[in-house]
Amino acid sequence: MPAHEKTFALLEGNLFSTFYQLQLSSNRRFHTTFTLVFISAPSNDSEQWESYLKKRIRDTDIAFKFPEPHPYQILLTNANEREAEFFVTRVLEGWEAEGYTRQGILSSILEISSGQSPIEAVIETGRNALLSMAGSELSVPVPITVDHSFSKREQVSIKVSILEEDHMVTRVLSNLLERSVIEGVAIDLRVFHDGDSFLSSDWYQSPHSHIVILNDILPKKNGVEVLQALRAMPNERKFHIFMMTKRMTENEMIYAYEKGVDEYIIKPFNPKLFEAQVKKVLGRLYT
Amino acid sequence: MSPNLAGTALGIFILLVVLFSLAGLLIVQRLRTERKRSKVQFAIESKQKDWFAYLIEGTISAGGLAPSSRVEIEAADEVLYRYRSNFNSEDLHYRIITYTEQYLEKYYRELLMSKTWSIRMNGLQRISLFNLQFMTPEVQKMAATGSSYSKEEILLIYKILASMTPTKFVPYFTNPAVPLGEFDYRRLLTSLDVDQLILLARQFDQLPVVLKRVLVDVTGSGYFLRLLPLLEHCLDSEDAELRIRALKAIALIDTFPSTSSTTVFVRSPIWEERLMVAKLYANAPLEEAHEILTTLLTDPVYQVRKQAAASLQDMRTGKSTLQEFIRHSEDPYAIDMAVEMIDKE
Repeated sequence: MPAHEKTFALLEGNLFSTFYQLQLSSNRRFHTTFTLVFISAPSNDSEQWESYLKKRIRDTDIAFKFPEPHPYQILLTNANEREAEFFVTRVLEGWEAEGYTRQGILSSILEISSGQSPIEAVIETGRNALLSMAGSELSVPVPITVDHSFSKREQVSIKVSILEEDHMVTRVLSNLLERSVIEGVAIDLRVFHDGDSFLSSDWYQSPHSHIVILNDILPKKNGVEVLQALRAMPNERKFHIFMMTKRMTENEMIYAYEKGVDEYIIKPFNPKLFEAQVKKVLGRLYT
Repeated sequence: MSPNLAGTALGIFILLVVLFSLAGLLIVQRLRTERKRSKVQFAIESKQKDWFAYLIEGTISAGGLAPSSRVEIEAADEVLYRYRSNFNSEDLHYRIITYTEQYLEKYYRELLMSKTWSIRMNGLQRISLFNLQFMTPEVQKMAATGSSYSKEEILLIYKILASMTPTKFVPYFTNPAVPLGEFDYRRLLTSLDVDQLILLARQFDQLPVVLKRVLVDVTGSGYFLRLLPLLEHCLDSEDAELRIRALKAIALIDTFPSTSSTTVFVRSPIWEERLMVAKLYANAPLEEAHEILTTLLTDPVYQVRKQAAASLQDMRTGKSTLQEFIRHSEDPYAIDMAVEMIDKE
C-alpha cells in the first residue's frame, strides 16, 4: 500500500440506522440523493478483502460491517446509482489487479431519492437482491445489480413569487411559469405588486426552495431592497432570484450580481428564453 | 340698494356661475375619462387569455381579437404596448406587426394627426417601439413639415426614420428642422448601428460641428474599431475640441493608431491633448510608449503627469520603468508622481 494511501474504518452495523436516518433527513430537506451498496465478501481471502475495502472507500463514503452472513453496506453520500456503479467496478477491478479472484463477490446498488424509504425495506431489498443473484443459475453470475425501488423522487414543492407592479406582466409570467413546470415538481405561486407586501408577508420565511422573480422598480420597497432583505436571511441560499430590469449597462449588472441576483433579465426579454431559464432552475432544484 | 352695489352683486353672481360651470365641466370631463378608462381596462381583462394565446403561444389568429369598437381599439393598443415593453421575440414582433397592420393603422394615423402633443407623441412611440414600417410615409410627411413639431417629436421622428430607412436618414441629421444640441444628437446616435455611423462618417466634413463631436464620442464609447480611420482623420482637424475627443475615443477603443500622428500632441500647448496622449500610449508598443510617457511624466500639468505614470504602471515593465525613472530623474514633481504610483499598487 503506498504511504499516502488513506484507510478508513469499517463501522459496526448497529450504527447504520443512525447514519441512514441522518442522510434521509437531508434528502427530505435538500432533495439530495444518496446510494447504498451491498457487497458480499469473496469466497476466499476474506481477511484481505476487508483491509482492501478499507483502502478503497472514499472519504465521502461510510462502510458498515454486519455479522455473518450479511454483506457489507457502503453508504455513498451525494452519489447516484451511476456513480455507485463506477465505484463498485473500480473496487472489483482493483481487487483483481492485486491478484485475487472475484469469485463469490456480489453487489447490489440502491439509489435512495425518496425521503420516505424505510430502512427495513431498503436493507431487505438490498440483501434479497444479493441472495437472488447467488441463487441464480447463470454460469457467470452478474456481479452488480441495480435496484430502482427507491430511486423515484417524491414530488417536490417549490415556492415561486412574482414581484411586479404591472398586472398584465404578472399574468404573462404566471402563464409562462405554468408552462415551465417539469415532472416531479409542483410550484406554489404567489404574486405581489409591491415590495412591502412581499416582505411583510410570512410567505418567504418557510424552509422551501423559493424562486423569486422581481422587478428592480417596485412601489413602496424596490427590488434591490427586497433582494438585500432576502440575502440577509440566515437560510438565504434557498432563494433563487431573477431580477427583471431595463438597466443594461455592465456596471449595473455587476452591481446586481454582487448584491445576490442569480439571473439578470433585461427587459424586453424573450419569453421562451425565460421559460428555458426557469426550467433549468427547477431541474437543478429537483435533482 | 345703490346701483353700484347691485352691479357688484351681479358681477359676483356671474363670476360664481362661470366658476361653477367650469368646475362642473371639469368634473364631467374627469368622469368621462374615468368611465372610458374602466371600459378599456375591462376590455383588456376580458381578453387576457386570448392575447397570451395570440402573442406568446401563437395558437389563435389576429382575427380572433379583431376590435369592434373604439374602446377595444384602445385596449388592443395598450395590450400591445405593455407586451412589447416587457417582452420581445421575433414571433412576438411579427404578431404585433400583423395585428397593427390589420386593425390599428387608421388609429395610429389619427394619433399622428392629433392637435394634442401628448397624443402625437404616443403615436410616434408606438411606431418606434413596434417598428411599424407601414407608417414610414406618414412619419416622412411629418419630417418634411418638421418645424411645426416640438423638439421631442422631431427627435423621435428622426430616430424612427433612421431605423426604418437606414440609408436615407443622413439629411435629417445634417439639416434638422430644429437646432439640435449635443445631448439631442447623442440620443439619436446611440440608437444607430455601426453601418449607419459609417454613413455619417462618409459625410463627416459636411456635418454640423456638434454632430461631428458626438459622432467621435459615440465611436469611442461604442468601441467601434471600424471607425478608427475617422478618428485618425480628426487628429488633423483645426478644432481642438474635436482632436481631444478623437484622442480620447482612440484610447477608449483600446487601440493605437497605425500612424505616428499622435507624437505631435506630446508637445501640444493644450494640456488636455497631452493628457489624452498619455492615456493613449498605455496601448502603444513598449519601446515607443516608454520614451513618450517618461517625457510626459515631467509635464508641468499634474493631471498629465498622473496619467503618464498610470499608463506606465499598466504596462508589462511599468514598475521597473518607474523605479528607474526615480533613480535617474532630477525633476522632483515627476519623481513624486512616480513614487505615488508605485506606492498605490
